[in-house]
Amino acid sequence: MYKLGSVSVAGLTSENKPKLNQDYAVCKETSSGYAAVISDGAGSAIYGGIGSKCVSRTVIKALQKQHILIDVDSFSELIFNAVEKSLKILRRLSRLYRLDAQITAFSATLVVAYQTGDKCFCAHLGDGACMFFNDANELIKISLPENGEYINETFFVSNKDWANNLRCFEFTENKTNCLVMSDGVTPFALLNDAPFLEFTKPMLNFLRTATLDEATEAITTMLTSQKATGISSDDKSLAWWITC
Amino acid sequence: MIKDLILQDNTNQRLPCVVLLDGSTSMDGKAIDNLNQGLSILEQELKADDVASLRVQLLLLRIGGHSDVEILTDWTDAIDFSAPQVEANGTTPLGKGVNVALRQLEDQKKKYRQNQITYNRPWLFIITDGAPTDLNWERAAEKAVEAEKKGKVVVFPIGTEEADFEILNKFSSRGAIMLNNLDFKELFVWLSQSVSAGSQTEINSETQLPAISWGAVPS
Repeated sequence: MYKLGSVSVAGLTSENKPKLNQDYAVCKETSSGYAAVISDGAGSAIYGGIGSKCVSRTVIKALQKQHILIDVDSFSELIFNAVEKSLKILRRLSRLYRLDAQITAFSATLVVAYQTGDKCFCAHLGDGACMFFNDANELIKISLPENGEYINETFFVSNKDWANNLRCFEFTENKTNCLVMSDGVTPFALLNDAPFLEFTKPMLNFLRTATLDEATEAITTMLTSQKATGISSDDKSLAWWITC
Repeated sequence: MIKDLILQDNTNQRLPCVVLLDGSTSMDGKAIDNLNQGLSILEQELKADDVASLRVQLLLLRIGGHSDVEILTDWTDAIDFSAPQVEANGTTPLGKGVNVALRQLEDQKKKYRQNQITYNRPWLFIITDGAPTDLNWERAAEKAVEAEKKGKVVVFPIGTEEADFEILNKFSSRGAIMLNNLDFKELFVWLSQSVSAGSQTEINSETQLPAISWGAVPS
């Protein structure tokens, strides 16, 4: 028995008006487990929102079709092929709709978490974060944001050498709870490269007891609160699975 | 409502910002008075900004005296910044000041990296009323432009109406701005708003600066 969900809310402009949400978050059942994907379209990329949606959906579809247990090499190959496929789709889209856009116009980051049987996998490009917890809300594994020299620089699927910056790992654990988030959420979910326990513990406890509707409503309220938008005006996304 | 959940800004992000101030004799009188008032306003504005007060780090340098570069305020978080009193006497070793500023910025970035503190691209504001009196200013100007090209810093040269803009323009690829009527008050309000915006710049975005009401591009 498990609970899956995702919420994505738009950030605010400097005039405190909602932006066009460039994040995309999804958490779905697969043929042998469940997967959570978050992609954050670059604010400066005109079609970043399309890029994040296309990449997320292509990756989750690929994972949903996956039937056999895989190791980290075949997992990273699957992610590589899915991202390359999404880039082809985006190039075709650009031609078809005469957008006259380079692939960098669709720049987006990627965080993927996948549980299949007793195996867990994570693939991560750029910022955002992914955390796996046990039932006592203790951290099992974490994938941290990766930025360039400056905090406002990161890695995108549209970079020529994007695969060189893709970080993948696996571990064995048949019962995990997972939080995947975009960089709009990490400022209050992480502290010194570790989960901020006053955020993650109450969140996991709440997700165990809440229905999907209750969770969606409460997390949307929290992410759009004045406090949250005061900390980060960026788009904010959270995806999760809880094993009950 | 999620019981017991705490939202706290856990980012340790910093925007390092050097303000290089001309404290030469020619600044004496109204210019230095207005500059000092402007610095007090900078202190107030930054402290009133919840995000900028924690993310912006300032280093204030003064050029003047016998070709001296003096640290008026060593690196400090904006929340702890206390406006210094700048005196006007001596020469304008602008080249030397810029060299010190660039070196200080690189040292500070090194400290951030050692302490795993994330940071934005540093900013350097150069504020003067004249022209350099030191011999090697041209090399310093080249270094500033080179550093800009390499993405190491963003340089904002600002001169009063008496400044030599042909020279000041050489310190940045973006060119210098002329401060009208010694309106340091408005300049420092803008500077505070700009660093506030800069400290909150999102991924892969350029900082959108507020419109300039205190000056113009010199003709």
